[in-house]
Amino acid sequence: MDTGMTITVNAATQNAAEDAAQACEQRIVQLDTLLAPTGTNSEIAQVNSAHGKSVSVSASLCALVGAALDAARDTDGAFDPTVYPLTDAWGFTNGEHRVPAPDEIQTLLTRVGYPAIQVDASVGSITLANDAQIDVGGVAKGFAADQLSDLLRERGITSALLDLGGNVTAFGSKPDGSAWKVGIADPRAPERVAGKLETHDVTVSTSGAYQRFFDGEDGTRYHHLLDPATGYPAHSDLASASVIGPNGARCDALSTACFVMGSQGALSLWRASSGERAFSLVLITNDGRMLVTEDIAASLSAAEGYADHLSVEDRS
Amino acid sequence: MKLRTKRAELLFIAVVAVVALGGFAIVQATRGINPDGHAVATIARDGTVIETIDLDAVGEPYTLQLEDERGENVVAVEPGRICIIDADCPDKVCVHTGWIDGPGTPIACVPHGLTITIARKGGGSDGLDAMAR
Repeated sequence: MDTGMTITVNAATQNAAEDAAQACEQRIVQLDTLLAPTGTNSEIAQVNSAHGKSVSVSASLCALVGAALDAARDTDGAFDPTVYPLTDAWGFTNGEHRVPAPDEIQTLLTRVGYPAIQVDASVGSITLANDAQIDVGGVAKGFAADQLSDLLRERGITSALLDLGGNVTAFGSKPDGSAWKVGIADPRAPERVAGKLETHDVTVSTSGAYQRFFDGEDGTRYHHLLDPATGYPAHSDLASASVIGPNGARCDALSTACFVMGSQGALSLWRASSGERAFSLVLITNDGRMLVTEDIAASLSAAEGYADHLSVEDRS
Repeated sequence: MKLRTKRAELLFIAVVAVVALGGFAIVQATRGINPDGHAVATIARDGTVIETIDLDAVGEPYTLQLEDERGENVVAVEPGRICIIDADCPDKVCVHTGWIDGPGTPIACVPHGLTITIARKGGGSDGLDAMAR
């Protein structure tokens, strides 16, 4: 996972904290090997180069791809892991950025479509039809957060904070029992805070055009959140979408989907999701408004500049 | 064309290796330990601390050149804040992060294995624990 990570573990003793943090680091390194874009030990690289053949993979990869597929179905393909050939063509996989020609994009789009993914968890195999390839970038950080949370829980840890490249998991509460304070970046100036959430036992995943982009020779800024329907960087009314919920992989994938769908689509999805699938939203529009779903409105304080442009969205 | 492909592969290897070697900063229970309310920046390479700077004790602004075989980062230090102002990495994600002055946003240059984090030692309860970004 091409990103910086900070893991903070609070425990009764320094040894217990160090031990848990070390276990987390090991798990991250393992996942990173499984998910590396290349390399003989990378399961995702094997799956992506299998040309339609079934590939035996670990339970971890099955679960990760399963979570991605689930989010793709749930969002009608607004999040679609098979967008990989396009991500690659735009150079977001390796930093060799370029604007692909329209006919190249059209050709690559024929390989995009999540129904090509078949996950058979009972035997541990993944098959990709239609020359499809999978981009795990949209779920990997959230999935890793879930795995680390499991690990911390097994060790009896009750307080930790995971910052996996900006994907923040508030595990339990602070050592003094109070809520974690998680900022949501202001898309207009990402080092600034647009809002502050006081929360516990959730992952906060944000997708925004400001995260990764390049300036094309035509002077246009192109960002990394590609719309799987068009093959181009998504154009919606949103500058960023933050999804807050107990399932990290789902939050991670849904934040991408919500950014692509725009505020109305994101709110419709929120209204349609209940029970285990429920999540909360903080959306920031291109014109500087902040939309927050009523289920977390009380724990959000908007920063100056957004407080006057805040609207609370209800279920109706 | 051949050269270009080779360069892409090399970049990939660099990125993967850095993370595998622990492009990673582990901060353990730093909150509320020191009674003094100082912002302290920690610069680490591959998870190993190479420099700590008490940002509140900085008088005149200065810059640091950090270099290894992977490339160079130029760090600017001012009273209360720190930033990577230039780097020869492909994405410049570290430069785009801009100035940081609190624990919310770490700076990471993954291709060079470099991270900069700030711990607000004994800071007020209004401080953020992390920033979703």
